[in-house]
Amino acid sequence: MKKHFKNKIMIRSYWKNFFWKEISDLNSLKEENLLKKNSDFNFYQNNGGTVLGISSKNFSLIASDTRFSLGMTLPTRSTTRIIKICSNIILASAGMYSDIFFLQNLIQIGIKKFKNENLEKCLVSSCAFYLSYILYCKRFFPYYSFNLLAGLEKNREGSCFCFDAIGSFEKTSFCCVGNGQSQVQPILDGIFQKKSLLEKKDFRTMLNAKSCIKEIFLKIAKRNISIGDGLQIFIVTKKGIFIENHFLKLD
Amino acid sequence: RTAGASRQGGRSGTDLAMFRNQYDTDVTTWSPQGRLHQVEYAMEAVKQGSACVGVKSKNYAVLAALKRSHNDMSSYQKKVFKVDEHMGIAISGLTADARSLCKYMRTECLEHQYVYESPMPVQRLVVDIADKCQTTTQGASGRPYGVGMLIAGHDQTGPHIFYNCPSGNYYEYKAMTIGARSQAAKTYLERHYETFEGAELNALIKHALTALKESSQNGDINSVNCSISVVGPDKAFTIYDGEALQPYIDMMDKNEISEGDGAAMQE
Repeated sequence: MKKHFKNKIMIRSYWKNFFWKEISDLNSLKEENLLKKNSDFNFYQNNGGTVLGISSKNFSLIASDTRFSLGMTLPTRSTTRIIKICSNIILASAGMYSDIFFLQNLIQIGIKKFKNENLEKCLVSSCAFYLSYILYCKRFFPYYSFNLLAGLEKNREGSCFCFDAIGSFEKTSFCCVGNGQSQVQPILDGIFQKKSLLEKKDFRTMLNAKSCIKEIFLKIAKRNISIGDGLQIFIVTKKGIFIENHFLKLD
Repeated sequence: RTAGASRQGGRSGTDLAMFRNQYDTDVTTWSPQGRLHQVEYAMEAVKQGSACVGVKSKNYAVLAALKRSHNDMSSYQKKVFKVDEHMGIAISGLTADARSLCKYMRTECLEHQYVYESPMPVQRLVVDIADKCQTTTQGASGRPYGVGMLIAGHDQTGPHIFYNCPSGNYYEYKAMTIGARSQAAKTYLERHYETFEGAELNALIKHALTALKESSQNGDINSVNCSISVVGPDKAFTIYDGEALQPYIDMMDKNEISEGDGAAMQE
């Protein structure tokens, strides 16, 4: 059923009688386009999260906040974004939680398969290549997840790999991904690359690194609405994986 | 006609040398007595492998296997495989078939964990494997799997010992042995199985090793030619091999088995 107004055409869709759309003359007038459903469905959502990773001579750690946000609402204040893949590798992801959940499951299973077939532990760099492969396989409908992989190599050196959403990665000794990346990365550059002349302490020891991270998170929780509620730190050392939980402001 | 006479009204002949039968060329051919000879020959292959023992108590399931080495220079063939954190198998027969089935079982367990976020129930996997074995006995292409598996696992319903046959049957047991000279071990287990329910873990392992000793060629059980595995509610499936096995071998040698074996070790 078509009604012609001055310079406007109102079309009622054949299939969905409850839905019609006003279109002007200048736009495309082909019926197929006009009958297209105006989809407001967004395939991605940003559930927040800031993930920070530091690796040093005999340990490797990842810190993440525990706030799960959806726009202006908070479905939960205590999510875990960091998982243990095997006894010397941990993975943390920020972004959309459902993509993160399934991606982390996929990696865990892939590394278990590796262990079954190869009878030895996976290297951190091998795991990083594997994660990159998984992410690139979905190049044309990516996982909305920004990942950080950290672990201890065989010679007890910590290493940290940061990824983007489609799998390009880099081995660094410190990195930040997620919502607070633009605020935290410059701080890390200043401290760990000794570019800032003000810092004299060595932040590569575990105690100093932990206190530094706590301070960083306390400060950016005040400046960013999607960060807060709690801080979780996973530390990989040769004695095993240690977990620390701290409180951040709940506002 | 071959030299061996072909028997029409045959005895089962399972403990004697098999005579060539007229109806055994194909797995899809029945004999007039209603038997599938190829499937029975596949079960013979299981009896050629070295012995495996599986026992379970109220909480734990233990597998023990005798490993064979090809010659003095070679390593001992692995007999116990881990399938998942709560499940594992001991095999007897064609190791290559076992490896292929084990790979399939591992993938199934991982997939179950991925989809349902919980470990695969043991009986479900056992039925899966049994169906897989049965399919091979009904198609003209391919042959039955030539491996028998003792599956030990622990899930929400407790510990289990299952035996999977190449014919596609599966049985649950309180205690079972398969492989060469397993009858001696079976006799030992028949005498003692009623005490297994309440036995402690160390006693259970001792029973398994002593049963295995009955099946060994010259009573020679040491940490090199033997491997055991334990699974329980608080213990993931762990295989003890080599050095780690030595304490259990010593434990077996120290005390003789007594009838009332619920008590813990003397020392």
